[in-house]
Amino acid sequence: MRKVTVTIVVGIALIAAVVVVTLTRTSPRVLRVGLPGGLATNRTVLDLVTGETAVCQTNEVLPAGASDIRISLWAFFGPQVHVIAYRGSQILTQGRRSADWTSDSVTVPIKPLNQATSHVRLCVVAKPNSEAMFILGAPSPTRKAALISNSGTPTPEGGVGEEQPLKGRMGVEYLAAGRSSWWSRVLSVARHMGLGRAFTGTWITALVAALMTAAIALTLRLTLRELP
Amino acid sequence: MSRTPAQSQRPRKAPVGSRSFERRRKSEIERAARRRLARAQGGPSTDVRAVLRRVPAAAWMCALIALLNATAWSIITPPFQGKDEADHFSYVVQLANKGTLPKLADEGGFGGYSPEESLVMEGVHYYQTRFTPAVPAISSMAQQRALMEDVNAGASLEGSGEAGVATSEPPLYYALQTIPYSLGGGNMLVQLQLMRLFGALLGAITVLLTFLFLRELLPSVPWAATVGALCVALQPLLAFMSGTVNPDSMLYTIAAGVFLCLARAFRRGFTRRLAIVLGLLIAAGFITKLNFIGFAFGVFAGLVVLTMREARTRDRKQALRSGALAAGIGLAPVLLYMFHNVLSNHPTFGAAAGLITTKSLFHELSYIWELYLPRLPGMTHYFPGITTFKDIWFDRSVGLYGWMDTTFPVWVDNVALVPAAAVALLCGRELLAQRHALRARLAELCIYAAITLGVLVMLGISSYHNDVVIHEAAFGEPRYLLPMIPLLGAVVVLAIRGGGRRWAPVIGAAMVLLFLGHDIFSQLQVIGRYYG
Repeated sequence: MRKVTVTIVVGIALIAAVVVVTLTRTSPRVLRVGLPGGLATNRTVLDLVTGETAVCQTNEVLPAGASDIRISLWAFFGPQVHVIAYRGSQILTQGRRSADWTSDSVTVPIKPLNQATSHVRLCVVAKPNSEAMFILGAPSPTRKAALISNSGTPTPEGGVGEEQPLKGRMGVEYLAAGRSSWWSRVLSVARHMGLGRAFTGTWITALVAALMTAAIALTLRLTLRELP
Repeated sequence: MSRTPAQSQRPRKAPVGSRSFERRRKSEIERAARRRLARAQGGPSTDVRAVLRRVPAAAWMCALIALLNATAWSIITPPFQGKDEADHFSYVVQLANKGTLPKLADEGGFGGYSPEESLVMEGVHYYQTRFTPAVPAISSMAQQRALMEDVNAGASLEGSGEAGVATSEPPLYYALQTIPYSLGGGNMLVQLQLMRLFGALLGAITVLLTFLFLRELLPSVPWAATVGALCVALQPLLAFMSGTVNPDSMLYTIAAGVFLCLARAFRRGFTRRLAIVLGLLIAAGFITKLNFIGFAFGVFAGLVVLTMREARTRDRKQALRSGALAAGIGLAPVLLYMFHNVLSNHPTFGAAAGLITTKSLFHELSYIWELYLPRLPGMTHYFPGITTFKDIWFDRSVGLYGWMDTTFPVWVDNVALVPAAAVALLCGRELLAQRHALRARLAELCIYAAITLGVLVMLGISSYHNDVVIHEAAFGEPRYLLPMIPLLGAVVVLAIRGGGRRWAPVIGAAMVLLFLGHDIFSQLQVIGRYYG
């Protein structure tokens, strides 16, 4: 019985500590959007691909300190994504995201740059792939549009014969760590949770907390009572 | 002093030796004998209250914990952000308001939701939020006011007569959901919340049945069943699914009931009453969700094994009668459905008919294999770049909530491999240590394996059809495996026992905390995604 009590005390302390640490972290903030309005408003389907693909677009501006790039791709079983940022023939930064994501955007971590860089050619490589994937963005003139290659191999300079222009530019957002921790936003999150339902109010958050507190208390009581 | 009516109605004690005393004594003896006989035959008591009284307090506590957990999830998940929730809701609307089942459109795809549902979905920013982790749920009072206007607009509830992906599903779950739907008055958001609470109740019953299944399976360590059921009650994917409108939640309950009946039949004999209950559960499964077809293959194999065993060890006639009774009751809705289809010139197997056509049996088998296991030489590469058992089944079991758009960071999935491997090792150790005892239960274990295999194959066939034949997405969601959640409880129990007598309680407590932590962080992840 004593061992069980010690395990529970240590376990609860551990969970509480990880919760506290997690809440000191920040949620990512958008440093720069590639298209006016961001990803949420630019959802035109530029292409539907089912194989290995490389999409590159020029004239991107890579902000200083960007730690992640969010790209407008929709997939149910998202493939492995490799992002490469070129300036001329030089690779400025790159990053990878493993396969199996489901969403209308995929976030790829990259190595942050110390200073903002313009005239960047940003390439997104989805390889290997056999599942359907939509490339989303906003319509644009052909000379500004993203280029797609089915070989799945990007080139720093572009202009390779097999690259074809899409209907527009792919949605891209550059992200960095946020400034305010989750702790400092607890109240605003609690208020937010009280919206979008038949009844409104922060009491909804309190109700969820009460339900979970009761569930945890009963769990611990039952564990202590039943285990030898 | 005058007597109160209650006192005056109380029966007077008959004097010892009187005729009424003897009569009462005789009937009490007969009742006791019947109870003893029923217990000896493994038959359940006819008195429901007596049956419920026999359920241990710990089982009720586990169910209550599951109810609280799923209720919390039902509030955390924004309206219609459960998987296909809008479609399932639309089915209930159709059934409750028109009294008819939804119909598949002849051509042109899904014709749309009712004007009221469309308005409310617009009000909660359903399409903007779904699949888009960067877009949270509505966040301002102005948006809330607009939503309330949409809810109270009094728009028509008459839709296209379809219910999206739910259209082809059988009606039992939806028919039951019309009760909370009608209790919600005219407010669609209240109706949705009440329907979610019904799902939470089903989640609680699933946990209760899982507890009884585990107690039946391993009666020598009663507290282990409590730990197993607690882990199931705190399993976040089960709580999330139970907290949204989805027939899966009822399928889990029925599956848990079937597992319990099978475990009882293997231990206490395949009685007539148990056969009736099992048959009713099978029938309910068939009219709850099409996925039950896969589950049922193993259950029917179980019926054959149980009948043969019973015929060998006890009364042959009785055994055959029990087997036929369970199969007959279970198959009745399927046969009626097929008969109706034949009469109305529809495909005999209805919506399931589409799954029977295949391009190539070898390719289909290769696909099903690769959906779960590494590709073998000679097989077409269906999932290049994806290690299906890890990337799909394991990682997504760690966390896949909302409209499939809320997951943990990749490193969490990798860290989760450590406790999962520890549980697998402990479970394997116990199975190895108990191999002689397991031999006696080989038939029962094979049936559980057959049920699991049936579910996996059925899911593989559906996925192949959707992915390869009609070029839509593959079905890679662990929620489809949750009908086997009682077996997860069994794995937990075995892992605890695998730790040895000395450490078993410590491992049990650690296991409960592991599931609790998983649940809490899953909720925080969903809160961060929708309200952060």
